[in-house]
Amino acid sequence: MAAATGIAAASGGAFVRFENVGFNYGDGPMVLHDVAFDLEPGTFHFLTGPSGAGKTSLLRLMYLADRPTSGAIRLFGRDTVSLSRLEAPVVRRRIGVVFQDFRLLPHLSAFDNVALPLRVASVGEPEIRQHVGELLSWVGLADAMDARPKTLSGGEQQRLAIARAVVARPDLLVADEPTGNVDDHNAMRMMRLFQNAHHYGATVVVATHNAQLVQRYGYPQLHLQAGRLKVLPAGTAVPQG
Amino acid sequence: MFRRLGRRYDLPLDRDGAQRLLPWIVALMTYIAAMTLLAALVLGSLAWRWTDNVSGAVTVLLPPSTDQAVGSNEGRILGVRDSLATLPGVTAVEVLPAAEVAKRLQPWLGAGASVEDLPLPRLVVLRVAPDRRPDVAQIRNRVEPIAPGAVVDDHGVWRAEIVKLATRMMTGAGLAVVLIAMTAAVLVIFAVRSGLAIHRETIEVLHLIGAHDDYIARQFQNHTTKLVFQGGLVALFVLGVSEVFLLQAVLGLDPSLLPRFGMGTAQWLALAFLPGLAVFAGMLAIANVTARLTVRRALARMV
Ligand SMILES: Nc1ncnc2c1ncn2[C@@H]1O[C@H](COP(=O)(O)OP(=O)(O)OP(=O)(O)O)[C@@H](O)[C@H]1O
Ligand SMILES: [Mg+2]
Repeated sequence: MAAATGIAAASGGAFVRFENVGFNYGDGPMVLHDVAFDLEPGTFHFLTGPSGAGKTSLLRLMYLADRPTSGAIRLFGRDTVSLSRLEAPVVRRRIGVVFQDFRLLPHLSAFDNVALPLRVASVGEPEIRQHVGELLSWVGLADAMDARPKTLSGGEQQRLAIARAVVARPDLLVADEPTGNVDDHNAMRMMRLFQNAHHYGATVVVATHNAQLVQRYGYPQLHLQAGRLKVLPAGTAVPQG
Repeated sequence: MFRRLGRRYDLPLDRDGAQRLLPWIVALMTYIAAMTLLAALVLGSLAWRWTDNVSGAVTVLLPPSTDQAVGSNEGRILGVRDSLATLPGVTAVEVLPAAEVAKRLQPWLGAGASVEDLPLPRLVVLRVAPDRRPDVAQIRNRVEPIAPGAVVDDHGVWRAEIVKLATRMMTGAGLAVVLIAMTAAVLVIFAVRSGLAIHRETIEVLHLIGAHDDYIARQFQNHTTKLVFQGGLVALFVLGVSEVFLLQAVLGLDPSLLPRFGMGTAQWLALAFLPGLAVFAGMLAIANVTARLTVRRALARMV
């Protein structure tokens, strides 16, 4: 990860850069207006804002699930609009995503769900077994390897989703409301996992509604309000309204 | 098992009810196509043997003499024979004895008729060297002065008819097989598209965690090929059973009624196995390529 960071720095410093990004779904109204920010490698940000402000939409752009309607997005020093179908997966492998609704594959075991990012990247099975085993222990699911996601509790599913997001050692880790439906204890546990990944070198963005959490950890915020973004420095309370 | 084979399905394709029928439809189509090919091949070799048997031969039909004088009749026949034997390229001239002609006609006339009393035409069969075409006009010129009214036939018209018929039937068979192949392709397209629609969510997740289109396409490709393979195996089995039954039926027939194929064991085996295997291989190729193209086209429109 340190090497990847170095490459990004060498190619213009834009690790994650949004330049005047506008976005709308189909021919619906604009949901993001003129969004512009830079994320330095190795930083940790919360993404805050009221429901419907456009957090998920912004993250989808960041993990290349959608393309901006206007403006430009640079990831790891590369312009993403010009990515070909062959190149996009390679960039996506450097991004770990915890989806708002997890999107675990119901027919696969916990082990196979976590193994997926390695399998699509053609990592060898012995290495996969080792990595996935470690990751499942890390998130406290070592005993649930063969369990199907729907047999797991909400908190366990979330940790499984986090394991899948980090198993390929992503340079950028993106989580959409991972603390949404869990109690405080589980939310803290999850935050520890993100901090862990952060310590290993990942740049982290966590979208959340939870003002207490933001308060407690004090990371800087990307704050969205009706599709417009403000960057708030570390220690700022979540703006109300 | 799939993991052991190094072939994994992240998409639960094998649980799609919609695709359960695919192997059976493929089995049916493979069977029909193979049978059609088999029939065309049998027909083709039959026509070829028939026409090949007579292609070097010319028949001269001498009308029965009007004066009933058997001696002079035999004299004319021998005259024709000797005259034809000296033609360049002619390798043999055979006069069919009157008794032989009578015997050949007997079945057509019924057991009651006494053939000996009838004025019968006589046949002279002439063979030419394999590298030469019989010159009908020349033969006619030789025969006419000796036996006016003789009919010279190199079987050209008949042969052409047989060849035309065989060609048409084989073209028809080929067309049927092509249509079946196209139907198979359409079937695969529908099966794959329904799979794509059912698994759209999962496919998006795979894309987002960094799967190439190829990774996803391969799963559809492998799965579809597997289904078609299963169907093909069923078809080959049923085809084998049908062939055994056909063979039994043929062996039960009076051999004199059968055309002479003149084929060796190897050719018989080829006839038995080639149509099935060719259609089987064709189906697999169609499934593979069609599934791949369909998925890649659809994926190119996704995230
Ligand atoms: N697939 C979609 N098609 C059309 N409009 C959409 C779609 N997804 C979201 N929107 C709209 O875009 C706007 C922003 O939605 P988004 O999901 O990004 O908000 P959010 O900040 O993530 O909300 P929440 O906190 O409730 O998850 C909303 O007005 C929403 O209705
Ligand atoms: Mg959201």
